[in-house]
Amino acid sequence: MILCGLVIAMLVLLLLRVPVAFSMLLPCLVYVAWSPDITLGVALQQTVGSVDSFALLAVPLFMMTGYLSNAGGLADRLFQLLLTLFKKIPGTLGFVNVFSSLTFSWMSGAAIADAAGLGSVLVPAMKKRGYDEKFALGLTGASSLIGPIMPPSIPAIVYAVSANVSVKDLFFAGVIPALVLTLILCIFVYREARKNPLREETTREHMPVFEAMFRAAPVLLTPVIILGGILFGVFTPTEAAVAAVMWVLLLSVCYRSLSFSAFRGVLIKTTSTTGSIMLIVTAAGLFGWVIAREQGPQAVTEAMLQLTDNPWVFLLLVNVALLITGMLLEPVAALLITVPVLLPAAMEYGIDPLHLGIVMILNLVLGLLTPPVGLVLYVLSSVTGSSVQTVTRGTLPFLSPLLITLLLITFIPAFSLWLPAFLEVWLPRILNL
Amino acid sequence: MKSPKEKVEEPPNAQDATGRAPNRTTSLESWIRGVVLIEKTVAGLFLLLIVISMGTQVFARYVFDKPFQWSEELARLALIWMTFVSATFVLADGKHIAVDMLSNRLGARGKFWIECLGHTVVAGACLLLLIGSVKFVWYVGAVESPALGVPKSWWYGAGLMGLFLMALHSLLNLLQVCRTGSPSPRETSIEDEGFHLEMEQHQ
Repeated sequence: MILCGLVIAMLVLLLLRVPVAFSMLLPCLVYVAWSPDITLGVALQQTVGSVDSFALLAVPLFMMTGYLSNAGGLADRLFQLLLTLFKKIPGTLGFVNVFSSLTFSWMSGAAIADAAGLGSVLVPAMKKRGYDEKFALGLTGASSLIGPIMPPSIPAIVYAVSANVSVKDLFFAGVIPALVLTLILCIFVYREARKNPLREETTREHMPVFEAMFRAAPVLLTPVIILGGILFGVFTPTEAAVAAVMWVLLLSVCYRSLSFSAFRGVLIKTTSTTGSIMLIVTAAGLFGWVIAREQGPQAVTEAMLQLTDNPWVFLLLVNVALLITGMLLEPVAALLITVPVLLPAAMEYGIDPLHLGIVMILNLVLGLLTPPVGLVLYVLSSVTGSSVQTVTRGTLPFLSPLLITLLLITFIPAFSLWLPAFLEVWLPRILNL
Repeated sequence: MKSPKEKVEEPPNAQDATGRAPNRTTSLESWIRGVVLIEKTVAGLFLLLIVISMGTQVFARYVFDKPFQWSEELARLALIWMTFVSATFVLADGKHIAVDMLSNRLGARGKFWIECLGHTVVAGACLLLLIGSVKFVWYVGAVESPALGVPKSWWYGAGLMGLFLMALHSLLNLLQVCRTGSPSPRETSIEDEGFHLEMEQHQ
């Protein structure tokens, strides 16, 4: 009863445009103030304690890496390399769009940077070269979802901390799903390119491949430092994040591409984005504690077990619930609200927390492409000048392959579990040989 | 409810219905901007502290083969302070994550009430937690952190400071909304968030 009241109060506040953190915080605070045996000091302990985490330090550091790379012109070096590499392949700009999302993933924990950057540059260029506007918009929107799944991903860090699983394992669990998504989008581009084989893709003289590679090689070393460092146990994810910040800062200084005012802008953007996410983490800390105290996870688990004892049916229901949640809420906020409720139930069904994590992240990021709160749709509309309706129509054909990817990842756990297990068990053996 | 345009059209020495000078809103805005600038600077300094302390940890682990005990704790403390300081200026800029689905469909009057409700809820939540937990922070001041040896009240004090500033910003935002009928303008645009890439420059 109390639990229902808390959830309803939170939903009403959310609908009334109260910030997510305070929609969670206020009902919980009223609950704590109302309870005779606990004080509000406990509430402060839970909120502050939830950000007192070594793993969460990676969130501002990875964000800073992304903002620094952009301000220091490093993203453009990678972009020029991709333009040069794909210049002779039919569908150049389509492939550049998809592979930019993949190679920029270490700079864009969120899909917005990807959609805004590639949307403002590639969509007009694709339109100018005869691509259908809706195809260009849809492809940019769909490919922007690769970033939050491919490591290092901010939603993955937040899920790992909430679910108490290894950030490293969750990072690597996201690799194959991100590659599957990339492959599916490449098939789309290939099909589109075959329809228009004579289209002239590039009109400018590109630099020679070797020059482009030389310019981009130090930048390409950044994901190697991050993922290689984590993979071979040189760094923890948080240490890898700080190493990436140092490396990117060094490159920007060497290239003399980062002014002091741009650096100041990086600090402000990083703290601003981190502040809005971390405040939700603090509120979610108290929310999770309150619903655990009221035995909410047990109630949800019992209700689910009465409904079905089949884990696949449970996962299907989770998919439907999360797709709806993702349509209304930003992925990280939605993760923080749903993980404390869904994870204990999933454990009862014997579902691996890593598998659940990837399913949840993919579900929630899909919401970025669906109305009414599809943030990527609004970003693309804003940066390209196309109406939200046009962007939405453009993304519709991409929703079915995205949903197929989701179902594949949901019902074939190996997609997310094979790589972490391989790296944990088999890679050390292979290296010893 | 007054629109900002109406406010500009007022003569310089006019007084409003309460007898106060109309340029109060402007001085309030500039005062808020000053506070926000300080908050942004302090948050940026905490971020740099995180980078330096974590960088020191990595350096010490590989150069001295043994990380400093204090570096991780300092970085975590800086993260807590950065979170609460950043949350205050994000609130002042109106950029906290919220669901716009319903409010976008409302008219000007509906949006005005939603805005007022939002600021009231934020101020109420912050003040409730602030007042209710002061005693707790006072008590934990007697406990020292394991590595840095500083009172644990430095940890929870960040929360108190953040709650105080967020309550202040919400009340000021509420005052501003009531006086002007519209929230203060937001600072960054979506275009600023994207990657800076060049496509056509050499054509």
